[in-house]
Amino acid sequence: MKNSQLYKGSLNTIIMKLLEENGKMYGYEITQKVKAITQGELTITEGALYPALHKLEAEGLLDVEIEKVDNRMRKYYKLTEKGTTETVNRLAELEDFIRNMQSLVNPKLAI
Amino acid sequence: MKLSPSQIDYIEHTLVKNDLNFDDLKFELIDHIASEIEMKMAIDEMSFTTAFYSVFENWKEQLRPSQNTVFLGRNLVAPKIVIDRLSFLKKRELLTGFGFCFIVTLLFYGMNTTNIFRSFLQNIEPIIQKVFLLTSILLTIFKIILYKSELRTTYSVLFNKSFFLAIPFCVIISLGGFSFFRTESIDNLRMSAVSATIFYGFFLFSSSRFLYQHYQFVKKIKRV
Repeated sequence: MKNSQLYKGSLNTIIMKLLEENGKMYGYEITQKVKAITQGELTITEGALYPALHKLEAEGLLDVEIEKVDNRMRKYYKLTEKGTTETVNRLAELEDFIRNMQSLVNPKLAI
Repeated sequence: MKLSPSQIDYIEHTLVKNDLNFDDLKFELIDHIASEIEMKMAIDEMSFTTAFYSVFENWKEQLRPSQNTVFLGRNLVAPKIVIDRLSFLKKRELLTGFGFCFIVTLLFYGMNTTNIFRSFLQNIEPIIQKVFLLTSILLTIFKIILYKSELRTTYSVLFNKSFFLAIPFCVIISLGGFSFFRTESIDNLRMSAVSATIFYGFFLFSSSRFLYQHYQFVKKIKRV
């Protein structure tokens, strides 16, 4: 992941936000979506993506669906009920963090 | 451009050659790698072979042989992405196990001072032994079924590891090897017996959970 130190702590929230917006997504689709939204500024490597997805699944925040697509199995991730609630909390935390950073980095523009 | 079944098979063959033979991860990686190859073939107009090598070059780090002797032992060598997943699940299991064991042992000793609780424990000891015995038999049956299963997942590997650790002690407990409830004095030996019973009880539960997760995956695959 580009600028990994800055983005690393927010990866789970980014994934959960994307799943909240798109319903269900598969691994490669998540990487491409992040790349497209950030116009190539942020790329999630497979080494960061899968541990994050598996951790969220183990915590019961994501559920898995398997479908056969184009001659292969595809594993879709979607938010569980607990995951949907947790996404709201984590997004609120992230927004607070961004606001605080904004105040510190550029006090004049702070809301 | 969509890949043909033989091209998909080739990706699978390469992953298996790199010891990635855990079906829950393998299916996911085949799809990811195939999607990347398709993208390169469509956008960069690469041939399948060129795209294949280009994509696998990026996956080299995740596929390099790795091990975690602390959590998984010396015998398990597998691609880094597999070891990372297994280590995470095992670490989580052990931390929960130690935490659970610690709290329950403390509670046990806190309550063990009252005669009512002691007499309650004496009465439930035969039940506990039977539960351990029944669970051990059931898990052994599942172990045999799993041995014959065609699918191998990260959950089944962790089940096997917990199984071999828990079963011998659980059989001892179920045969009355740790009759700590009947002992009158509280000493270090008795403390160890209580902790061991609770800890291995947790391992039985944990093994069952891995087994359940394995069959959940098998069920999802069979539905497709």
